[in-house]
Amino acid sequence: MISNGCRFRASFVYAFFLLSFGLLYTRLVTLQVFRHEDLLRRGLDLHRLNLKIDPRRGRILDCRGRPFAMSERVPSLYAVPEKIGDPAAVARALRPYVPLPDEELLDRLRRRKKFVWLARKLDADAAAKIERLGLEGIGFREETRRVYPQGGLLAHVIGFTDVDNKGLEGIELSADEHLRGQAGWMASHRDRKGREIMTLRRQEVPPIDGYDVVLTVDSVIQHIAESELEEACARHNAIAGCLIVMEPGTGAVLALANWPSYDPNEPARSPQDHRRNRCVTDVYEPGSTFKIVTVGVALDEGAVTLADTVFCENGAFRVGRHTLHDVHAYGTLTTAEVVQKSSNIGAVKIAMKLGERRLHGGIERFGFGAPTGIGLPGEVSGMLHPPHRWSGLSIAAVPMGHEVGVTPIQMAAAAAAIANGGLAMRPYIVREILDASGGAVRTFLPQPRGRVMSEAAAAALVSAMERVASREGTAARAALEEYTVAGKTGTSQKIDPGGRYSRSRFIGSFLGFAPARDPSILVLAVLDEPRPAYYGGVVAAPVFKAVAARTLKYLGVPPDRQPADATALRRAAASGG
Amino acid sequence: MAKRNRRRREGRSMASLTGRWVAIAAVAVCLSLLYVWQHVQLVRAGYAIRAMERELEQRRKANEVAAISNERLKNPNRIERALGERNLGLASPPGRNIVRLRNPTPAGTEREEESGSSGGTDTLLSYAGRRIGAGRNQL
Repeated sequence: MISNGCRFRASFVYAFFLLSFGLLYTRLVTLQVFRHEDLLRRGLDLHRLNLKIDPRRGRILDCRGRPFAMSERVPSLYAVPEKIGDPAAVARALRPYVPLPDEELLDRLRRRKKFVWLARKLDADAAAKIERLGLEGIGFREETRRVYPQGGLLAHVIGFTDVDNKGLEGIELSADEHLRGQAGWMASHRDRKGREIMTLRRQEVPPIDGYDVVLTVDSVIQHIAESELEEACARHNAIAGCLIVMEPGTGAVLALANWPSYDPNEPARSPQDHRRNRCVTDVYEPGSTFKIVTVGVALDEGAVTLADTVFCENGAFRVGRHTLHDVHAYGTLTTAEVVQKSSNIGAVKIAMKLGERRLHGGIERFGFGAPTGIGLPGEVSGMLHPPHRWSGLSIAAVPMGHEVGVTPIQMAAAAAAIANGGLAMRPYIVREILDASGGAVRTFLPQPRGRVMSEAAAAALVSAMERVASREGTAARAALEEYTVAGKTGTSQKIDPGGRYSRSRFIGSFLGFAPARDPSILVLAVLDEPRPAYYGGVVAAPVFKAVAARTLKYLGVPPDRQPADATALRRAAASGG
Repeated sequence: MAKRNRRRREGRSMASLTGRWVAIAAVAVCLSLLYVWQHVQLVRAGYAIRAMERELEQRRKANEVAAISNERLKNPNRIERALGERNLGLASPPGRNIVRLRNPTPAGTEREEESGSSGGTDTLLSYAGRRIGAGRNQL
């Protein structure tokens, strides 16, 4: 017989267990059903480790494998604001290392987010100092940073990237798809201390590093070009300048220099104007350097021969309501002398023999009015009006390089065609794309663009251009002691904002190649607004001389001039020819 | 007597059964411990591998930094400036004073030494070394 007290106690125990299990069950349902998603997410967040692995961005190398652009792994600083107890104290501690205004830093630390960047791509020293502070809720993530170890060398061609390593300018932009690579990722678990538990690593996809891009540019020749250009711009007070060194036989660009320049490691510190690759983006009226195109077309079309003579009107020639002048008054000149002495009247009269349509067709064959296809961003077509848009004066302006707009790379490519026996090669600057093991993914070979003139006409023109760098020519200062030179000077007036030709602002240029009969290099130097001297033969020819002399020696090109000739030339140059 | 014997037999069989269970339990516990030990060792090995991976990354990073620093030092601008500052009186020789050496190839055929090429200096030095080593210093 069970007593009432006993039954009461049993009921109490039963009720106690029932209630306890009821509460546990309720808690279980709450956790497993109602808060399931949230708790699952929090649990996974705590232990799951999903890592994106950045690829190494490919290098940009010169033709001998010297890097212009590389990548290095650097720490980036982030915060988990939820874990930060006292944001103000943390902000005070981080202030010396984080390049953010105080309010912005504090604001980021107070955001209700799980992750905020505080500073991207810090220096290792700063990161080590921050790590020593031992701040809760502050961590580092490794990223790759683009580094340009040569500083400003070839900056306009190389370009730069943004903070996420995306190409913004130059080769960094045009070859971005080859350089960037493909990110990898890893799914794993971590322990309480945040360390990865490798046995629980579920998946790992390694990153694919970007390809290396090999250029045709030689960093030593580039240095020669940049240093000589900078010195010339400083000496002649030019506001800008550019210089191109090419291999006429292949179209390979050995150097492409612009001044003013900038450091791609810190592009924001330079004005946008300094970052422009003027060699492909700027159009200028080439002036007398364009006469080689006029005479070249006339020789090729059989309109004139080198020995044909033209009367140069003793320095003044009336075309319509305008009068053309030569710098010196000339009487009768041969075609070769027209090139040698750079006679405007002679060039115009030769063009008149040729006629507008044939002249225009020849200019187009040389590649003017269309981009060269060098593969650099921002390249423009220049300006060449079709014959139906020519005015009555155009035939007197175009032959001497006015009323036509060219880019320096177009002018260099046209001259290279003459140096190459009339066969135009497409200028190119990217030679190869290599994978991580150094195997060639893609090779860019010299590409003939077509014949612009016959070999005989080109040879005749070269012999005329050789006279330019002689004592009687306009560019005795371009003559090299140990090599023969063929070239042409150019001086053009810039156009004022009012649309008239300026009397004080000029562009002085010189293009030439050496050795003249078997050229290894072609150099085009253009100086923008040199003062007070502005003639191409005075301001640009010496730049050609310095660059060509150093480059030919560097390349080991055997001299083709006898010392006796050299002595005579030295005397000519000293006498100010 | 028979009853006592039966009890003794039952007692023995119970002891034997218990012994078997204890043995099985002991083996199971041992296996479990072995499993746990093995797991712990695996996790520890994982930590060690991760630490080594991190060290490898550190060394790769140091290598990258050194390579970048090396390239910065080789910058022609820097070298020219440094040479200018030290005033060593170095000057580029005239072209006619540059003598190009012909480098005999292993096959015995002669090849023009490419002046200025990346391998030019190395080839020249190795060529000089070979000549000196052979006791026929004709440089």
